[in-house]
Amino acid sequence: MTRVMIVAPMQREATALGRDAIAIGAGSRAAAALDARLAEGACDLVLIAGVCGGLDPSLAAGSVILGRSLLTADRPEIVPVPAYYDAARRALRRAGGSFVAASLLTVERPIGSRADRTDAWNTYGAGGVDMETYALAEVAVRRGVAWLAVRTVVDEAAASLPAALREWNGDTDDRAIAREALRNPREWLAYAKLALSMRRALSSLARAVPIVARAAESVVVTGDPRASASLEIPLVSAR
Amino acid sequence: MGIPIRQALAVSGYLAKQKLKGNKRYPLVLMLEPLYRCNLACAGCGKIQHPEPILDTYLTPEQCWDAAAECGAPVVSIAGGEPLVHPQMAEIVDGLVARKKFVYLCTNAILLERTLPRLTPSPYLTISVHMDGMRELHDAMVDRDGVFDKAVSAIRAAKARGFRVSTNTTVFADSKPEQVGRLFTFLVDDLKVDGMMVSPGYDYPKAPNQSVFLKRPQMIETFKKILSMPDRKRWRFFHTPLFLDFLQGKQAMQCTAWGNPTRGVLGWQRPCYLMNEGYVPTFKQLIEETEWDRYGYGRDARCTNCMAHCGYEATAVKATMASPLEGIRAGIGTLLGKAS
Repeated sequence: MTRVMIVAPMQREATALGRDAIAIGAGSRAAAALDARLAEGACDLVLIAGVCGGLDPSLAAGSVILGRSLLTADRPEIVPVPAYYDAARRALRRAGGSFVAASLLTVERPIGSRADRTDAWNTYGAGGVDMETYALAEVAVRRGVAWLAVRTVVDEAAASLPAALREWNGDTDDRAIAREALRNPREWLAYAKLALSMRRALSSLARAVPIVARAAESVVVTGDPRASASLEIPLVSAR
Repeated sequence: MGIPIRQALAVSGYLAKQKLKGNKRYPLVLMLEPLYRCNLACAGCGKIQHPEPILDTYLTPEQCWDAAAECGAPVVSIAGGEPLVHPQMAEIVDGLVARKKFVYLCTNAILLERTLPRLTPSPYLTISVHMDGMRELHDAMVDRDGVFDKAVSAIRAAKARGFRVSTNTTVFADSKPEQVGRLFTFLVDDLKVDGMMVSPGYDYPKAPNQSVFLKRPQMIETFKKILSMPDRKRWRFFHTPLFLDFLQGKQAMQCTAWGNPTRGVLGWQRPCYLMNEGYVPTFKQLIEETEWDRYGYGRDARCTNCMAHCGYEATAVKATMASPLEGIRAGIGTLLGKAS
C-alpha cells in the first residue's frame, strides 16, 4: 500500500480537507516546508491539493483539475508517475464527478487580468494556475517521492482579480486583504463573487481529494518506493 | 458575423431552444462526409489516406438525410473527400434543403461548373469553394496546376446562376499574410463572394507534407498580421467576431468538439472532425459515450496546435449567445454584411 501525505498550501484548504491534510504554506515558503517534512520520511507519495486560478476558459468555479503535467517558466515540464496518475484518473472517472486532466502552471505572482490569463493560456495551455505545485512536486522528486496534484478552480479564466489580490503572496494575511477590500467599495461585488467561488472550490476539493488519495493508496509498490518516484522508470503497478 | 440573417436567426432560435431544454451538449453543424474519395491530393489533407474499399464506399442520400435528422443540427457542412465526385450529390443537397437545413457544399470546384445545372439556388444552400491562396500558392497546396483558374471560373459561373458562394481558406506555414490578404481582397472585390471562412491547418499526422503546418504561436502571429491589414474592413467572414479574436490570441477559448459532429462512411467519428478514435453507429452514442472532457487544448497533445473553426467556432457561437455585448457586435456584423 502506498503511504500518501496530503499537503495543502493554505490553512483553509487543509481545513476543508480534514485532519489528514497538512497546511504546508503558500507561495515560495511551501517548498522548504515540504522538504523538511519529507526529510522525516514516512510517505511514498505527496498529494498536492488546493485551489487555483482558471486558465482554461471552459472551467467554471469549482471545476476539478487533476495535474497531467506541471509547467513553470523556463523549466522542464514534469509529469506524475503514470501508475498513480492513471489510478487517480480512473477513480475520479468512476466516482462520476466532473473533472479534467490538464497541465497546471506555477507562477510567482497571481495572474490578475483577463488579458494576462489569455496570454498564459495561449502560451502554456494549462488548465489552472497556482503558486506552489511545481516547486512542491520538484521537492518530492528530489526526495525520491512520487506526487499527484489536484486543484480546483476559484476564479474563472474570464475573471479579473481585485487589486489587493493581484499582489498576493504566501505572506499576505487575510486581514490585510479585508482592510484593502473595505477601502474599495467598487470591488465589493468582485470579492463577494470570489468568496462564493472559493466555497465552491473548497467543496469540490473536499470531494475529489479523498478519491484520489484512496486511489493512490491502492497502487501496489512493486519496487523500492523511493525509486518508484523516478519519472522515467516508474516501478509501480496498479492493483 | 456576416452570415445570412435567416441563418443567424435560425441558429439563434435553435440555441435558445437547447438552453430552454437544458441540453448540455448539442450539435451546431453536422460535418457530413458522404465519401472520402477525392480528385486531389492536397499537402495538408488527412482525409484521403483510407484504403481503396473505404474510398469506394459512398453514403446514400437516405443515409445523409437520416444523419441530419438524427443529430438535428441546423447547419450541415458537406465535406469529404470531394463531395462533387459523389454521383447523387445534387439529390443529397436537395433533400437537406427540403428539410430546411443550411447546407454548405464544400468543394475544390474542379467539377463545380459541370454540376451547377443539377443544383438549385436556395437561401439554404451555400457553395463553399476551397481557396488557399492566389494562383501559385493555391495550385502548390493542392498539388495540381490550373485548379485556381478552374475555381475562379466556377465561382463566377455559380454567382451568375444566383448561387450563394463562400470560400474556405486554410492557412498553412507557407501562406504569407500578404498573400492571404491579397486573396481575400480578390475574393471580395473581384469575385464578389458572399462570405469567406478561414482556419489554420490542422496538423494531421497522416497528411502527406508535415512541414506545411503552423504551431499555435505562429498561427496567432500570422492571423494578427492578416486581420490587421487595411483591407480587413471590406472582408466579409462567415465567422463570429469572437472566433476572429480567438485566432489573433485576443480571446481564450476551449474547443467544443461536440458542436460539429462528423458522420462519415464508417459511422459517427469520435471525437471530432479532425481526430479519429473510431466510429459509433449512432449520434446518441457519440454524444453520450464519448469522454468529451479528455479532449481539447491543454488536455490532449493532438489538440495543441489546433485552432480550427470546426472546434472553436461552436465555442464562439455559444459565447456570443451568452454575452449581450457580443450578440450586438455579431448582429451588427450580420446586418451590415461585414466582420465586426
